[in-house]
Amino acid sequence: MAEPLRRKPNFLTRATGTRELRRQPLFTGLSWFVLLLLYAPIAILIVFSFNDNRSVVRWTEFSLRWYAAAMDNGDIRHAAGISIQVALTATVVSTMIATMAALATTRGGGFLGRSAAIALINQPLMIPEIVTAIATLAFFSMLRQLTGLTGLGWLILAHTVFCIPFAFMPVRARLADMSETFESAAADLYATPWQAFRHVTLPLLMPGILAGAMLAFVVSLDDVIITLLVAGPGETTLPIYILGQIRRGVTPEVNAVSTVLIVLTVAMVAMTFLLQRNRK
Amino acid sequence: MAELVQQIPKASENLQQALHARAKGKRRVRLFLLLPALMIIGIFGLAPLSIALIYSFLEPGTYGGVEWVFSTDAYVQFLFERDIFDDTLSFNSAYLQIFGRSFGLAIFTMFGTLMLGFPVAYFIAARPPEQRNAWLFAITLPFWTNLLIRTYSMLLIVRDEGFINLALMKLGVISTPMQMLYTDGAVLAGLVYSYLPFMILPIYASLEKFDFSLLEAGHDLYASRMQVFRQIVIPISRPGIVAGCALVLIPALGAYITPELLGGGKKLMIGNLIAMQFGSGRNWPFGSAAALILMGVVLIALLLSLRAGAEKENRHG
Amino acid sequence: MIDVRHVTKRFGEGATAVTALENVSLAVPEGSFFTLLGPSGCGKTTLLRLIAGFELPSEGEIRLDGESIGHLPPHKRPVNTVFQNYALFPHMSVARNIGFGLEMLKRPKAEIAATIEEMLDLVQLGAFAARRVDQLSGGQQQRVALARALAPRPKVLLLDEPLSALDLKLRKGMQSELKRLQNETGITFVFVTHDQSEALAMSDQIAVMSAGAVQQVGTPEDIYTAPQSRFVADFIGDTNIVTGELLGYEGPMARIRFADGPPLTVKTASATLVPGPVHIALRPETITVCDAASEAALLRGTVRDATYFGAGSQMLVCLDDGTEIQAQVDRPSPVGTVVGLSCDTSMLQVLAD
Repeated sequence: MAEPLRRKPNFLTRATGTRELRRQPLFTGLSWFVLLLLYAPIAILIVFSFNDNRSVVRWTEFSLRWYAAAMDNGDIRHAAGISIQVALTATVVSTMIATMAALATTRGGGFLGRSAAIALINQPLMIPEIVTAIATLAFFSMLRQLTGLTGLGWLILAHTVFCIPFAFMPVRARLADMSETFESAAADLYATPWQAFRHVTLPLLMPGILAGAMLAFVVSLDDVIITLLVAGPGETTLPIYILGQIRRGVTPEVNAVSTVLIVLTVAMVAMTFLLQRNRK
Repeated sequence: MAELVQQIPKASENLQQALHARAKGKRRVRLFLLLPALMIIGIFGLAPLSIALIYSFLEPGTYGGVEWVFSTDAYVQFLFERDIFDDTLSFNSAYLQIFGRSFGLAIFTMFGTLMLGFPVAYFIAARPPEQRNAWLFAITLPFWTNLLIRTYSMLLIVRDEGFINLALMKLGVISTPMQMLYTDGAVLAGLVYSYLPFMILPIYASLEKFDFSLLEAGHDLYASRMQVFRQIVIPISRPGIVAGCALVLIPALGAYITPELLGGGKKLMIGNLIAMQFGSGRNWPFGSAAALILMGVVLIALLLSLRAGAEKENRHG
Repeated sequence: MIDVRHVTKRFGEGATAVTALENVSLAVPEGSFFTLLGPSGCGKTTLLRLIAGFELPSEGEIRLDGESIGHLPPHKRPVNTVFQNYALFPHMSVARNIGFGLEMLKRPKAEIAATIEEMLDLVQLGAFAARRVDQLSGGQQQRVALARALAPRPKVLLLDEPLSALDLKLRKGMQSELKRLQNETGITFVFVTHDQSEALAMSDQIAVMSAGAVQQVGTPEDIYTAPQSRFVADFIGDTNIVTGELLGYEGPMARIRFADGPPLTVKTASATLVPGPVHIALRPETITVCDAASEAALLRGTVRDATYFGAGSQMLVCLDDGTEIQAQVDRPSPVGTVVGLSCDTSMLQVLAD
């Protein structure tokens, strides 16, 4: 008889009891702390990029002088140009290739070797970047010797390879979410396979493609290790330039350039996030 | 059935042709769509790895590159040092130490991110749905910002004249700056900072669909808070924990930027060792061998995590 | 008219192959409202997809007005579909959805515009042309889906459980709406459903399907009053299946009797049954209760339960052999009493299995 009695208060406090179990109070504090931990260093960097002083700890006055200095710096301008050339080309090519592959692996039913194909496409994600970097360096230096070709093309090619899985993910996710009934309905309404793709699949897929393209762009723009090893002379991208400057000692110009890169990345990722949320 | 088919041979022929044509068309389109991705990744993603494998069995060239002479020196070099004068081998633990430090740091990073990441993932999953997206976005955003810049911002905080030292000195806790930069602790902190989102996201994914009334049910059946957690929450989030551990361990093992900046090139990890062989070290075969050993370790970790994930499903099924 | 001849459809290959349809033959008369009725997994949707062209049959032939179409891709068949979840294109307006088929057929712009107008009127959505489809209610989406499928004036309209996503009240309204559209357009409708009351209310003809085969084709009345098999009798409405003894045949009729009762002459689904025990279908609403000792009593049993449902009562009677019988009566007898059950013998039907 004691058991049912013990149970009673539990039963009465049921509603509050659940809420308490959900809300581990310790976890709440910890979560906000983690958020602070993640953002504090970046916030400090951004704030002090507007400091009139060289210091990154003592605030004197708001100023845009380091941004002006960075704009005037020919090396930075050159590096930015290379970065954008590489990122744009790699993004366009990798997104197209990834979209095609995503269509092949989600539409028209399963086929032998589908999971193998997906694994191969995701391969660049599964290998430590440093390994990919040195292997690509070895391979490309061999190809450079064999073909006699030099230029930015090699770097762009290397970026395209590791951008493909990043572009592939959101496109494939969107396709998997998208009922094939839409394509069936189009075919039923006299659309040829190409018309169905052009008028139905492609417009519905667009948010996924844009999301993939932005991720690819961000990943290419941010890459350090592979670029560091594969880039030829004069092919310094922004991150490589920044790395060089950091090795030489902290300079406020780098803070300004870093802030610009962060803002750019955040804007793109935020857009991607919104695009993916809108589909629901 | 055979007679029936013969009664309508023409229709049946058309049908067979159509079935055939449909299957063939499908295969063609699929091949056309898949080929570019498979070719590019196959040639420029996989082939380089085999080149690295070949290079690891060659001799280093004087100015970088390789000499096409077979040699196992690259692997021998890990454990032994060849005397320049009499060619004898003596045991050398320098590289083993670097591997050891890498593993140690990677494993500590894994536990550190788990300790911090699990509560956060649980906290997000327990939020009302409209708040979850905002939290997820806030957690993922740093992951997409440049790793180099994030590490650099960390450096600004932990160096001698950085924020932490300055604050502690102002508070009178210490009188002279504490050396934090270029220590294993700084590298560990940097790694945890870098890879924390990798732990949070998969655990969140496994808890996302979690029905919190199960906690109530557990509580109703006289389980204590700790018991509910151990018996219900942990088993359900297990696949996420396993995936998160793999996602943190793998890049942490191959980390390059973090030890480079926060370890100051003194506290080397495998990543730096490998990169060095292709730069100033000019020993491509040794670098390739180190990279392949790293890749082997990573593959083993991946397989183990896949098995750990599969075990869970078997128990359920 | 649609002519389905000996169609078999298998999914998968070798040992794992599943047969969804086995040697199905059907004729759908032109201009009729034809329903494929059956439980889920009976193959009705597969048959619809074969007619639409989303799947090709493994064997057999499908003809439309004498022309073989079974091998054509969907966009080459003059057949349109209303999908279960409508599959309206979310990135297009209502008007563009409706005009999509004609647009793909490259009809002149003026003709497309006129047809859209006409279709919007037909489904009474004139004010919604510019709306996005996700701004419409379920019932409105349903009408757009109908208008879109009717706009190209197909020879056949296929409807895949189009009412299942609507709530009960809307569903009743759409049932008469569909009938009206079919009458006004004169297009052959092939309607798939698992809801027998929907099928009975709307169809000119019903094909009852089960396990990849057609069990019975007929008018709603045929199917209801003269089910051929236990499956059909059971699936359509409430039915009692009673065991009786077949004595022999009398022309197209069968002579049977219940227990030790008098011989009766009743309809039969099969003229080739062996004398002995057979199954007989008996609808609850045809039963009348009488005195157990009365000569009119065909069956006798004990009242077990009675449930009042407004328009009458449902009474559960347990026969001596243990069979439970449902009867609809105005005033139920008290539980525990022994009663006689009688009915118009022309409502009895001997089943084929």
